[in-house]
Amino acid sequence: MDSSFASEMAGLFLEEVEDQLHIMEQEILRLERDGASDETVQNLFRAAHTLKGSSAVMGFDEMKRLTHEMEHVLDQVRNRRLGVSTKLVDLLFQCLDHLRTLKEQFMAGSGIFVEIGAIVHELRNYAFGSEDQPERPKEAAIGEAVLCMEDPETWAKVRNAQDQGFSVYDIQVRLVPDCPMKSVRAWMIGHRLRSLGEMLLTHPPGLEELEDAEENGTVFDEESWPSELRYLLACQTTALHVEETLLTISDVAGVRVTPFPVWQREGAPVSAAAAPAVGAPAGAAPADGSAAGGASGASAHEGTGAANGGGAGAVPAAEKRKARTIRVDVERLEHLMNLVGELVIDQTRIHQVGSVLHHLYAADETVDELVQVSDHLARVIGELQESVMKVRMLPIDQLFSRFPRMVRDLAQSLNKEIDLVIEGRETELDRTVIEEIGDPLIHLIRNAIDHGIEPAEERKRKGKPAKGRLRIAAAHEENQVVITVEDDGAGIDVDKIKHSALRKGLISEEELKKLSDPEALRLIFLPGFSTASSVTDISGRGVGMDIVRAHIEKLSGVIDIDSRPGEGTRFTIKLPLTLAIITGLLIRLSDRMFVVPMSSVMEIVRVPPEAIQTIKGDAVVVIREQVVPVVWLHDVFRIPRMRETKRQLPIIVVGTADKRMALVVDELVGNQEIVVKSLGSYVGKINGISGATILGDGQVALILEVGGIGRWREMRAGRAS
Amino acid sequence: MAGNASRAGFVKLRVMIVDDAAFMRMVLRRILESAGHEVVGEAADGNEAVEKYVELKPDLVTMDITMPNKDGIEATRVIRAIDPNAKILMTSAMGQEAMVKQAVLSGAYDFVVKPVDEERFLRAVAKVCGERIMPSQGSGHVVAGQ
Repeated sequence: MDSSFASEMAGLFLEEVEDQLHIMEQEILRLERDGASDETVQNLFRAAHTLKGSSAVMGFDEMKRLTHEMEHVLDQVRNRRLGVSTKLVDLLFQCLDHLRTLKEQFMAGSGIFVEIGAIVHELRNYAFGSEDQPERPKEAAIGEAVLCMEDPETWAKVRNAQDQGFSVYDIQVRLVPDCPMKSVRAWMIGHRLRSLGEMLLTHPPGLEELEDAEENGTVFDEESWPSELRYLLACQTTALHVEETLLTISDVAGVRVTPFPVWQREGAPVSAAAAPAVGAPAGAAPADGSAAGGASGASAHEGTGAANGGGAGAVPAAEKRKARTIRVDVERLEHLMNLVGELVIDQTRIHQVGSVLHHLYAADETVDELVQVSDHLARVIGELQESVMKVRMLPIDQLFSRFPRMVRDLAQSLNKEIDLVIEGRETELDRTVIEEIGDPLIHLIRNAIDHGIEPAEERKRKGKPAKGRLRIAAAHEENQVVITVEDDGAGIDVDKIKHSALRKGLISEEELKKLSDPEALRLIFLPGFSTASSVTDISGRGVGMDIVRAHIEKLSGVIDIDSRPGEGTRFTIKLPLTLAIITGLLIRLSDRMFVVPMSSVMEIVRVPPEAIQTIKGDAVVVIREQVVPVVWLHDVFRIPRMRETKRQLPIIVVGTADKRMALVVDELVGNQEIVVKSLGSYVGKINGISGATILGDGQVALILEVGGIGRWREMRAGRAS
Repeated sequence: MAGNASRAGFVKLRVMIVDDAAFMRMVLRRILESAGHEVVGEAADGNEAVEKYVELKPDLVTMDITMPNKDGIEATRVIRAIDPNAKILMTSAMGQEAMVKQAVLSGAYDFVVKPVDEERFLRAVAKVCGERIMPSQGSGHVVAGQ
């Protein structure tokens, strides 16, 4: 289950709890005011039942247990085996309060104990009362034992220890709020207590087993450890000694040791002097279930009160946890990001103004101060930007977790055996990128399963393992995310691609001859290309690799392919971490500024003008023995070219997907973090421009979309021929 | 063992610092000394710690876990074998949960987590020797020296 789903579920659950508690309250009030009517009881029963179901789904045991008992009592009321009394109304109100507290505990992510043992016990008593069952003495003690005393085994242990003359203590330990290594601390406290006597029970459960767990190398989740620990210890020392022993352990903020009441053989409680709870009427005869129950109920409340009130440290800790996860509307985040973007722009401007002033009034201290403040502001804004970006990041597992099921189904329908390997689930990237990259990835995966990986028999014939391997991986590489989809299937036959492209008229024979194998492979990204000889259910629904490429380019990403016949195919997708702020290369054409996203820039070279040659009317330049088509950006934007008087022309080699281009510009200005702004709906989509930004001096610079420029070149070339 | 009650409720302790990082030793020394304790010795690994413990008999040892030659867990075990009353306070880095437990099983009295928070560290130090300053415990507030 991915985390967003879990938190969504938790959100729904809490809403439902709130609704049902509201209904309960209304109905209990009605019950009290109007007496029992079938409808009221039925409504109450239904509310308890609904809560029981959903809390069970959420694994929220306490709530499930409590609602289960409520349901049981209400069922008997419904069947007229139980009457309605003030006692029942009181009980139901108490249940309601407990449920509210439980809900708060759930929201806070635990940390405070809600003791439902007492109330559960009382509900049972009430139900038992109707069935005329004699009260069992051990049951009467449950209220006092706030731990899971219903467990007969624990009860037997307590009795056994007491019979042997041991004192049994209920020990509450509160840790300091920011206690590090809580699990170890809790274990150590347990360890220290065990040196005093025998541990009967711990909360959180399993503390006594940590010694073994440690040997198994189990790692405990520190976050989820409560700050309040509870132990049930049988020993022969005084409560004071236990308390003092614990107080010599660091990070222990408070200790409360309560002696457990001793039960005599006949079953009447002999309250230990220090036991605050069973100081109730001494004549609380075992048979009088309600009285004993009432007393124990009160004690439990007191216990909670003490834990809350005394635990001044614990409550803020719980609140801190609550604040740790909040659900925020995505739009608010977008807005925040926008504001940060504005700040970045303004800061750049302040910086620029500052340096101008610095030049003009070098001796002025005030200007120095301005520069200093501006520098500090730049750092703060930088951090702010990073934090906001992080908030927008999600692990790619959100997407990857959809794949195993899909791959399984596909493999089954195609009768292939596939081993899916997913790596780098935790890689984080911008949520908008995650949303957008899903479809192209699914397409690549389908392709790999459908066309890439061969059926088992064929694989065996080729001497490959029968099970095909599909690897989907994500990783951070510098400022990019690299996603790989790799199969060990048949690979792509370059000759077949070439023929197919030729047949479809996507490329001329001469052009074909010039293509290297890797270049020929990239032909599959051309619109209208599909290698599948037949259209199958799975891929080849007319949606080809060109769509995949277009999708990725829209995200300012690059897709590359590598394939070896017989060995497999690998697609590599490189994506920017975020789309909101990018590193851009500032360039100047005549007097206008433009930005080329750094993610598209492959290299920057300077060449003499004569290095640019013309082959069949197309300008090209040879860079590292590769012929690269040349585009004067001036032509694209109809800006007059500078007279080529320079000895060296700055050239930016850009590449998206399958194409490399050399862009001639007038001047390279430098790298800069830029905030991407859309052009707005009134301008609409412009080929070759993906957005705009505001520079330090207030100038607007257009951000180039390299793919669009490539298309522009192709169009022009097509017209010329 | 010597402890001089100079202020009410305060026991000046003779402490030995064991840590392979000189910087960490310096930090701990500064904290301890500024609180009025005496740092009687320092050791950079487990072997040295055992040797110096025998020589110095400090009231308290702060013990790093990961060290060359002999680690803090082993050193703790050896020192406790030599002196079952030795008070050893582990200084652990985050993520060493399992090792902290081993150290406690080897006889370490308590642990603090690095980076060391001054106040918390001193509280832990005071608590380690708390058995001797706890009024209700035993006969006197301060156990008399040799």
